[in-house]
Amino acid sequence: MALRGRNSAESNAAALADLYEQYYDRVTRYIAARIGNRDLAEDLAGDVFVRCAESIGSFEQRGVPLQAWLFRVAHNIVIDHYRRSSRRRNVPLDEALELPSDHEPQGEVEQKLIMDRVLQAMAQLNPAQQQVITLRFIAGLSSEEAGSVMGRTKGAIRELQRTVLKALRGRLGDDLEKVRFGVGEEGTQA
Amino acid sequence: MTERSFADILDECLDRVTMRGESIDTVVAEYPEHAQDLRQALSTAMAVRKAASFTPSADAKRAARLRLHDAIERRQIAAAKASPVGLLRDVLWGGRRLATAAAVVAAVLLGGAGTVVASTSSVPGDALYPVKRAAEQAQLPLAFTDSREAGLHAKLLDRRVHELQVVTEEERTRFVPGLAERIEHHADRADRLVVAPVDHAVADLPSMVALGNATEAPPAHTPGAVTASRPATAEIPADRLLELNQQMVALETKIAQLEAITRDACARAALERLTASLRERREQLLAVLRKADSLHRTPITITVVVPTPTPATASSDLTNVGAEEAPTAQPAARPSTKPVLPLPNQQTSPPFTTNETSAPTPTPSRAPEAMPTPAARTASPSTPTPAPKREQPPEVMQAVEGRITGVTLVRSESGGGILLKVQLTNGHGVRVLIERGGPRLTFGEKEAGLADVSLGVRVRIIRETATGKVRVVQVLTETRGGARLDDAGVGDSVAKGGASMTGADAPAVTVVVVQPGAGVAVTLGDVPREAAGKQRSGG
Repeated sequence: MALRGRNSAESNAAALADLYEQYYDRVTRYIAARIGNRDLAEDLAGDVFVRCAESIGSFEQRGVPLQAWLFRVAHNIVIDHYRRSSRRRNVPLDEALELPSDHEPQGEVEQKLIMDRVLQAMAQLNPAQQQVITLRFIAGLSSEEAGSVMGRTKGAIRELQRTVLKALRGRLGDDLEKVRFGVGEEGTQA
Repeated sequence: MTERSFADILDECLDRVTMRGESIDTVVAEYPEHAQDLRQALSTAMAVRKAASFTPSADAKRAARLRLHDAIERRQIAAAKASPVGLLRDVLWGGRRLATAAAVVAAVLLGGAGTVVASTSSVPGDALYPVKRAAEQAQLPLAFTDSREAGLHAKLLDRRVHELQVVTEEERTRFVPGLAERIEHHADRADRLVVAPVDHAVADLPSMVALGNATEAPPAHTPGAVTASRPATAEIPADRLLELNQQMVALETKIAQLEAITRDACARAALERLTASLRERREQLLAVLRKADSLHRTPITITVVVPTPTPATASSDLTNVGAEEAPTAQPAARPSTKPVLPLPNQQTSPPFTTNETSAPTPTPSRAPEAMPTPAARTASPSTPTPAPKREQPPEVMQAVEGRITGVTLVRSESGGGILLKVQLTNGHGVRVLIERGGPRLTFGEKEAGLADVSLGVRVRIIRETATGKVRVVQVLTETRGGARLDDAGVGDSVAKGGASMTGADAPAVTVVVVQPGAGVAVTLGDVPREAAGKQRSGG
């Protein structure tokens, strides 16, 4: 996505509206995965778009995709949140999983527990590792776009994501073999 | 192949699986030499995505959209103040018609920076009128929400009527048909944006009532089918109702103005047609408002029967919601929809009591013999007679007050329960989870935490530590004055088994959750305020 036409007020507004429609959900999921709180992530996602509206005039179209700029803003919002709260997230997503009830089929309980372990494993990654997997697999950016956000080359991103996936695999072990994907889930856009 | 090459291959495969929807098997098959490593990495990536997947709430999304709109508007106002010429340039490059653009250029040359402001009083035939129209048109794409767009159209309608008055007075009659057409257009757009959602919601409410109507035999439900077969929402959007009302009042004013204009001989025919059209529209608005008002005031009982733990005795319309173990439940086996709780506004004694599960003796206020209420009979007038006789009346587990404008079936839970959203008059909403096996709500056990806080409406999760069950209990709503019961206060009142009501201004209406098979009785409508007042000391 790129700004349409001139950098006029109207085209900026239209570009922001498009950006919001296409990326609000992904930005919210990205922030939730980074800070571990979905309610707060929804608020912060609102902040992201407001900040974009305030600074879109300074956005210069020099080959940087608009969505990369958006997630850079989202990243900065996350960093600001860390600074304000003076602590890093170290717990899984707060409402990621409802606690299993005794009426739930065994298989579903197991799936929830596995997902919980995935989130816990993600929380133990270092910031760059967390960022690369959230940008790639939760925000749905390409490695090149993720590189734009993180200020790295796409080659560096590819290498980083390889090592992160390997590390996660090592922590989660055979649990991952038990993850079931719903119909169409495997491969649908985040 | 080197490690670096594997990183590239993996990247390509990740894109194909996570973005293009290809299966892991398909992409792995193309790289047999890396099959195992690729499969592990891809399944890890997919598990990460699945674990972090969730859908942001519609409320939050709406709020974010409004904030974005405000931010854009602030920025544009600031830009206009800093450079009115720049604003005109934006209007020009924003895709306006050439004639308009030419007019704006001319206006800038003639009038300078204050042109747009100066153009606001122009009418058709004036040199600056195209500037005014272009500036108006530039605002419409920025409205973002239906509500704001409707407001903008209402404002533009107002301007056109004023212009109509001016051109009629000045006998520029050739502009009248065009203005009449624009008035019609703005009224039509505003209608579509405001009336349609209200009308739709109003139309949905009766169908929600059918949920609890045992005379209608719904098809057997599969877990997914129930949600699809229900209306998406039965809430009457209060803000839209307000807008609709305002729009109707405004239309009356416009009609009066137009009728005055039609005394002029010029363009009488066009204006009379327009007046007739607006009058007809006003009648339509009134009809929707009356219908909404009538539904809002009429007590309605919605009965949703909770799945019972034993499939053989499972009954009710929603018994099959997610009830994998009871797929053969037939309509004939739904007779226990009969028991419906006494509705609070139909009782003479204090209507609310919260009984502990371990203390089944109901308090007099919830006397089980009062069960078959008129409203209940309305909800299920011809319940099949061979209803399994319920030996014990349903025990009231929890009663919570709140003025309710709508109840929405949010979803069926994987465990077989249902999640209802109860919308309150002041725009707040609470979610009530009715679990498969029944809301055996137990109080005083270890608390898992405050699960959902929605603008002062609190829902508390109680975890049964021994079994790991999660129960959701609706606890309280915010008082109108903004005060809330603090957490300790809520916990205390619940622990004592008392009704957890708020202050003297506590809104009225009741959600009653009862034992499995008995149902959830939700009353829409007003409950005498005195009844709410009595609840304050509940406990």
